[in-house]
Amino acid sequence: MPLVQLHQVSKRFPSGTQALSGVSFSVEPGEFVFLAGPSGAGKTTLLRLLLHMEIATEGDVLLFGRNLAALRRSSIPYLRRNIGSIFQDFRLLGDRTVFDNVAVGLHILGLSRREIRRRVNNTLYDLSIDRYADAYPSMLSGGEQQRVAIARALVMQPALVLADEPTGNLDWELSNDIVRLFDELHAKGTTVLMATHDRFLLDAFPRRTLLLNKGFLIEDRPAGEGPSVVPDAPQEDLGLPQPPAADGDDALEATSVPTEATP
Amino acid sequence: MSRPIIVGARRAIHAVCEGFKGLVVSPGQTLACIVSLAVAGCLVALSASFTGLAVQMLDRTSRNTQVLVYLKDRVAGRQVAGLMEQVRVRPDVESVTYLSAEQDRSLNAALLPADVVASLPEGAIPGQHAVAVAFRTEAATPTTIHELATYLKSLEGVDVVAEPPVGAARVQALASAIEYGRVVVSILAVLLLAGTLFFVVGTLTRTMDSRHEEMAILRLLGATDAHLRAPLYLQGMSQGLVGLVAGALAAQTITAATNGYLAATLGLVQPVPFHPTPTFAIATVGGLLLGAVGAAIASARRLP
Ligand SMILES: Nc1ncnc2c1ncn2[C@@H]1O[C@H](COP(=O)(O)OP(=O)(O)OP(=O)(O)O)[C@@H](O)[C@H]1O
Ligand SMILES: [Mg+2]
Repeated sequence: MPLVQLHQVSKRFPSGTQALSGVSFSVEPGEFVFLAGPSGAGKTTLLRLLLHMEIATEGDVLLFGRNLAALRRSSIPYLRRNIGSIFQDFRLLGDRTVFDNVAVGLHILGLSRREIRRRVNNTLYDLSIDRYADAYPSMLSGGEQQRVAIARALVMQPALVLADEPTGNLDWELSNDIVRLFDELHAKGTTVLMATHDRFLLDAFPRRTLLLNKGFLIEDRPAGEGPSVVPDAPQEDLGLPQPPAADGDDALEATSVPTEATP
Repeated sequence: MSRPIIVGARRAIHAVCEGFKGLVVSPGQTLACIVSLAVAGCLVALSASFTGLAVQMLDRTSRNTQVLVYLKDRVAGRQVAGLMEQVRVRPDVESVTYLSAEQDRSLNAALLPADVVASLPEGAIPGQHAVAVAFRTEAATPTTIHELATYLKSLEGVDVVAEPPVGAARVQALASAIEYGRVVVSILAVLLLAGTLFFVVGTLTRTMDSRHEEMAILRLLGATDAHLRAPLYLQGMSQGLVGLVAGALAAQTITAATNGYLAATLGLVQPVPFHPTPTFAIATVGGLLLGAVGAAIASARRLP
């Protein structure tokens, strides 16, 4: 049974924007899938549909084999406990320590203090941020903050991880680290669906890639195949950053400026 | 203990901790909220007490709304009993009492200053045996009293009928004034409580705003509505409880002080009534209810 299944899913916002049009695909347990596409392609909207933060205007969204449209509102929280979500802007609580940020979801499960401490410490250790347990997010670098956000998702031991441009605010090195982290997670059996428009990451990690453009799923590229250029659309139009130049320093400079994050 | 109970208990403890954090998000506002609740609660309790006093006094006055039926000197006991029975069965009559001539004399004497009574010769104060007819409060209108007086006068053995010293019209005016006052006080109480409800909602909304980010994250991590709401309800209900119980305590202190003052200065024996058990019970239930309603409104407005 696929973990994620979309059948002819469309999403039109009340404003009239057609964010998704007839998107169909499925993700099997244990897969690592990139969701790629330029800004405005509908990546975030698709992930929000899976989290039931938005509702599809047409088509069916199935998660763990269950149709979200048919689900009672009260069962949504229990579904979400199986999903770890990670965002570009980390969404950490500035007034809580790293430990408390990671522990925040475990209180929902009603775990004992000891169990919470054990799980949080293990997760912090796995992500090599255990020395920051008592620090506040503002004292950490962007990459470390994203690790805290990832720890908060992973400590819930989710079956599915949804990451929306988790590397969007990070430079090339850190982006690589984060994706490698997801890779390790994937190797342990977790299903990962990660949205990105970072062309270099897609090149560096040849995984199955769903390419969205203007709300349409224009390509479902299996793992291992090289990236292809969308026909009829020059790469600049897709908003994809240019591949790094031969000179390594230039490449770092070009990618370390997060175009999305600058307001 | 079974596992669900333990898990539930841990969640409850966590909710209490979060609710307490909510109370100190903006301590000034929380305090202002509790104080306004206390003031409103105190005023409501005091108005109830003082209306209670007024009702008691009205009751006493209406007991004085009686008609004295003076009987002729020579009336047989049997005839008096028959007459009393005839009057007693009327629906507007509360009670019928026989006064001997001696009793009537002492009542008359009580109306005069003690030194005057002492200076008068024996038998100078008149006394005549009579039947005192008291009315039911609601029936004591000038017309009914006059009607009854006329009827009594027509009975055999009746000498004179003395209509009440306190006019029924006045009693009625007092009763309607108190009724009017009660309505005004109830409206004021409702307005006050509605005002404090706004205050409670305001404080809770502020807490929710300060926790907005956290609640959005909790939602994504799989928090249920109950999990997000519980701390808010606890915060609202503890505010309501502390506020109204403090108000009831203040009202109790004020009535006690008032009674002490009145007794010391005016020698008043009729105290302002204060019933601690129902008052504190109402304050407790009302406080919890007010807090819960406030939390419900705030979470309907702000829950992500
Ligand atoms: N809440 C909303 N109301 C109206 N339109 C929206 C809303 N959210 C997204 N959109 C529109 O839907 C389209 C898809 O947006 P979405 O955020 O899914 O794109 P994206 O692929 O995540 O882009 P980016 O790479 O910039 O994050 C865009 O045109 C966007 O303006
Ligand atoms: Mg997006």
